[in-house]
Amino acid sequence: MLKDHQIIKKIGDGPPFNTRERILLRKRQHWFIIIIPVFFSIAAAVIVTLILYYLFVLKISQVGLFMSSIPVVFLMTSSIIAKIIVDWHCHFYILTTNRILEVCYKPLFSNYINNVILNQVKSTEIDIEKTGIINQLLDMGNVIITFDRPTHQEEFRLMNIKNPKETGFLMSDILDIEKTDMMDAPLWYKSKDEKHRFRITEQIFPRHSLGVT
Amino acid sequence: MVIFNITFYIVMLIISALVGIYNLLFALYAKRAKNELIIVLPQPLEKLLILNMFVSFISVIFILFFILRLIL
Repeated sequence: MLKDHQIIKKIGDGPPFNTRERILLRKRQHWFIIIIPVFFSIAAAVIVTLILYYLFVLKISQVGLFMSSIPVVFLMTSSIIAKIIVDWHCHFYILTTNRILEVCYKPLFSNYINNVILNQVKSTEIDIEKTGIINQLLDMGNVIITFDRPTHQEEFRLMNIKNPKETGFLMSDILDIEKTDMMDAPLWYKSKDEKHRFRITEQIFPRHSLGVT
Repeated sequence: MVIFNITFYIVMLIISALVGIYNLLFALYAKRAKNELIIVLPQPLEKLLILNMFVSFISVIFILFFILRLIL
């Protein structure tokens, strides 16, 4: 006879989540990353249509072949564009007070959910990357959180998101709050005091303004 | 030339039917995401998938018409 606590409940039967858990951030990748593949799909469709027109209408004068191939070209292009947009739409990051979650659902192809419980790990690095002209102009970049694990290979990557700096600061705040016993001081690049953002340089070089003679 | 035309039409017919089935399955799995992961697709995307299925159906009929016209 099984006791109540020995019965493994389905996820749907259990409590949804901790009632104190709050969603702090929901992010998708920047919309710009779907522009280039969509543009190339349309360009490829136009080129294929022109080639078919040249071959079937101008070369061998078979309008029927051209007419039958046009809906197929349209179908394939719109299916590819729909897949690109759906994949982008179903790939997002959620930061709550208790966890970081990456959901990547590609209907019919793959399904990936990465759930990191914040109070079970210790974050050692939060890197913010913003490389390239387009990334600088569109304020797009990556936030990479490294967790203290034996291999040091496990990283949580928020790729090509908008406002990576703000997200990185928010992450550092959350991880900081969760780990008050491990980190007394705020991270060096984000002081709570807006007037003294780069606190560590002042501590190392008191009364010196770095970079100014 | 006739054999080439019929072969081409049959290939186009198969491709459009397969793309239609793919779009149908894609739409069904996107609906599953709504039930399991609470990810709702935007209305224009759902309409695009339905449009693709419709175009696939129409193109299959269209190509069948061309094949029949060539044979008969």
